[in-house]
Parts: sequence; C-alpha cells; structure tokens
Amino acid sequence: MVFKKSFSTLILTLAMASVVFADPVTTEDLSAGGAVTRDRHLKEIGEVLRGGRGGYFDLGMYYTPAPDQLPLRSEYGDHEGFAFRQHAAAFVTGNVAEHLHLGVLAWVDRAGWDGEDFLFYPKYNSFSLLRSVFTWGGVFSNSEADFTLAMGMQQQNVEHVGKVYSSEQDSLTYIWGHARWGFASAQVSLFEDRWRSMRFALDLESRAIYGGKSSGWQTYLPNVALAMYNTKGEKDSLTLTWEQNLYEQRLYAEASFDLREAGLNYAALKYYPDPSRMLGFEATCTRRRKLAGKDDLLWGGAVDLMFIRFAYNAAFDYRNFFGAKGTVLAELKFNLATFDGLLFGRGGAKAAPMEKNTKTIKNKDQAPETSKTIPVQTKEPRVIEAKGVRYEDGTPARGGRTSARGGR
Amino acid sequence: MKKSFLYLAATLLCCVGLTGCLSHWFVETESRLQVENATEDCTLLSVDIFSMESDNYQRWIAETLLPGERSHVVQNDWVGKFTLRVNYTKSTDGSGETLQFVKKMEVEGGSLFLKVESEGDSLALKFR
Repeated sequence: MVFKKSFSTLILTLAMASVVFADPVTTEDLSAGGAVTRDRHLKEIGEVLRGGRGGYFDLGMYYTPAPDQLPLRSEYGDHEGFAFRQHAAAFVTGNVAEHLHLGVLAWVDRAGWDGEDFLFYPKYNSFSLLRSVFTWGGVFSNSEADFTLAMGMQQQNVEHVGKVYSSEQDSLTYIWGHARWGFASAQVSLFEDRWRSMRFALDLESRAIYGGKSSGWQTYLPNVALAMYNTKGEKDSLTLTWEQNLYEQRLYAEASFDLREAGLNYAALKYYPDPSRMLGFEATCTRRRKLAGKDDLLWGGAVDLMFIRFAYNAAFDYRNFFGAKGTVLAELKFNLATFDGLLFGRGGAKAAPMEKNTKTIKNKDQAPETSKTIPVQTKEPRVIEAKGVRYEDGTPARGGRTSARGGR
Repeated sequence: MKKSFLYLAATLLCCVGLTGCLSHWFVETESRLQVENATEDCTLLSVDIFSMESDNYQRWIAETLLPGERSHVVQNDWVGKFTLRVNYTKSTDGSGETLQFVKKMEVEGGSLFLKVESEGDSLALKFR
C-alpha cells in the first residue's frame, strides 16, 4: 500500500514536472530525425547480432500527454503539439544445418511532430512532420567460425511534411551491410553508389551470455566503436564511442567523442542491478553545440524499469528524440533478447536470473545433496475399512437379506 | 503485486489508446480568428503571423477592414506563441503609407476575437 501511494505520488510529480518545465523541439532537429533513426537502427542491429543467432523483440513508444510538453519551435514561434516516437523490432533465426543459422530482422520506427496525439489518426496540420523508417534484412551465421553476415535495406518514408520544414523526398532507400568475425564487426550504409556511414566496432568485453568469461580481467576490456558519417559538402564526421565495464558488468562508463572537432559528445555512467540489463539507471552529460554561441553541458538521467522508462535530459533522448529536453519523458517499452534459450536485455553480459535457479536453491535447503535416502514415512499408514460388503446366505439376491445397505 | 501490476498495465494501455481522444476534449488544436477594426481613423489591410528570424510571413486575415468593420472567420493551425503583424494605414479609406504593428502574443486556440484599437500613435491588440 505504501508502495502504491508513493508510486502514484511519483507519477503525479513527474506529470506536473513535465508540464511545468518544457523546452521546444526545433524544425532542424525534426528534419535531421531520419538520419539519426537510420543510424540508431544499425547500431542496435550491431548490438543484437553480437552473437549472430538467437532472437530479439522490441516494442515501445513515448508517452507525452501535454500539448505544451514538447512544443515545436519554428521561425514563426512556438507551436503547441506533440512530438512522438513509436518503435518496434524483431529478429529471429533458425538452425538450418550444423553450425549454420539463417535469420531475418526488421526494425520499424515512426516519429515526428503532430498537432494531435492520436495513435492511428494523425492530424497532419501545416506544421506536422511524420516520418517512418523501416530497416529489414537477412542474417547468415556460422557459429563454429563465429562469423555473421547480414545485409538488407532501409526505407525512409515521409507521411507528411509541413510548410515550415526544409523540403524532403517522399521515399528514400538505403542499403546496409554488417559483417562480424568474433569480437570485430563492420557496418556500412549506402545510398545509390555513395556511402553514408560506416562503423567499425571491437567488442572486446568478455560476456558470459556468448560463451565468454563471467568474471576476471577479460570482462574489463572495453567496447570501442568508430563511426564515420558522410556529411554533404563538409568534412566527414568521425565519432568514437568507448564503453567500459567498471564493476562486475553492473557499472559501466560510456563516452562518445567527436574526433574532427576534438570534443566530447556525451558521457554516461550506467548502473544495471543485474548484468542481464533488464533494469537500468543512468546519469548522462551531453555537450550541446548546436545552438549558435552555446557550448554548454546538459546534465540528465534515466531510469529503465523494464516496461517503462523515465528520462530527464538524458543523452539518448536528446539525440534520438529531436533534442527533447527540459521535460520528464515517459517511454512505455519492452525489449528482450534471447540467445540459446537464455533471456537478457539488449547489450547484456549475462542471462537474466530465471526461476530455475531459485528452485535449485529451495531444494538444497530442504535436503542436502549428501543424503540420498528417502525419509521414512512417520505417519501411520492409512487403514482402509471395507464398507458395503454384502453377505449372502445362499438364497437368491432378490428378496435376500443383506447385512449392509449401500452395496452395489 | 501481480494484480496491482495488471491494473497498472490496463490503466497505461487505456491512457495510451485514448490519449488523443482525451486531450481532444480540452485542447484546441486550431484557431478560428475574427478581427474587428475598433479604431476610428485607421484601415487594417491584413493580419499575418510574422517570422522574427527572417522576413517570412503567413497571411491569416487578408481582408481590408475600414473602421468599425469585422472580418470573416478564418480557421488556421496556429496554436502557441507567435508574433502577429497588422498592416494598416492611417486613413479611413486605405490610402497612404502602409504601417506595421508587430506584437508577440499567445494564440490559445479555439474561437478567437481580436479587437484592434488605436492607442496613442500606435495600435493595441486584444483577444476577447
């Protein structure tokens, strides 16, 4: 009951805070949203394909109930409305031959800004932008050689672009590829005959879920990724991301640097109560450089409670939700990864503690392993008394006297 | 715990499914504007939403209003905080130099009635 009361108070406080502190999202961030989403899809696919087989499922959406929570800042002023993002993902594999696995994957994302927040009935007003990105592909894995090859396409479709945005093409198709050998992987995204982005990653950290070590110095090796983006007319941008286990694969530090400008993008301290990453807490610091003349740090954090995630100024949302800040975001979400029948959260190092483990402990408590004897039954044996037995005296049954009624 | 979790999940699902319907009840997502020229010596030429960052503007009311006249009602998607611009002349027949009156205002949505009054040498805008 106390939990219930404090929880509802928390929800109410968050709702109040979300309305009181609100910063607008900009048309520039909304226009850039497609590229950000495509990049995030590939990054997530890279994380999920770390083992090359298994499965993944993801479903989620931001819940921003107030129209002045994330207003739109255009050149004319601040428009009231709703920024939204809905996402889903699935990845399944099947074993086709010994050590050979074939799989398919699909990532869907619909995001933008609209005058109303109906889920299936958009408003499409003069200042709306609604866009969806669909990434799909096939996966081939050889588990003996620890090798994975995946490729597919990304479709970016615009439902509606209002008059305050830069013009955008209805439909764009990109081709992507992903190759992994052991802990090293490479990704590329192409548009027509030109590359859009490349990512090289070294996941050196040993993870028990993929058959690695569950403790020891190998688990303290870093995960490093170098991403290159082909920016039109300018120098290609280079981003280095470093993820480091700090304590028992529960506490991690993550930092992303822009190598061209020699500056920090964001830094985060993440705490997972369990290495399976079902729950998570993070504190982040984002360096904002977009606004002219501003080079300030944005501090924030997020709490991931498996089915719901609360975030305030978190680095992930600042980048992936149109620079949303100054408001408490609630995201209804659920994702689960599986590998050889074990469940864990995306990027997790170990399997989630399952009910199986608890049972073993319970049995241990009752009977130690050394005693294999079956305990002697101390209860008195049950005595079965015969009832309804019919005694016959030689005369025919009909009309005959029976000693007990109720016999058949 | 399991039951309370189910209740929470059901509540959240309702909130998500009906979020548009619920907000639609008390949130206006469009504005219907009518303008009255309440001045005695000015002619209003147009009412625009004006961009302070560039010279762009979006015309909202495109009628010439002589003193005492009211415009038609024009519906638009403007809800929020915007800069309104009124083009007017200091004459009762629309002749003479076009002047501009610019003011940042909160447009709340729904049916709006904008009264333009003269205030000294300039104008005053009031939503009523």
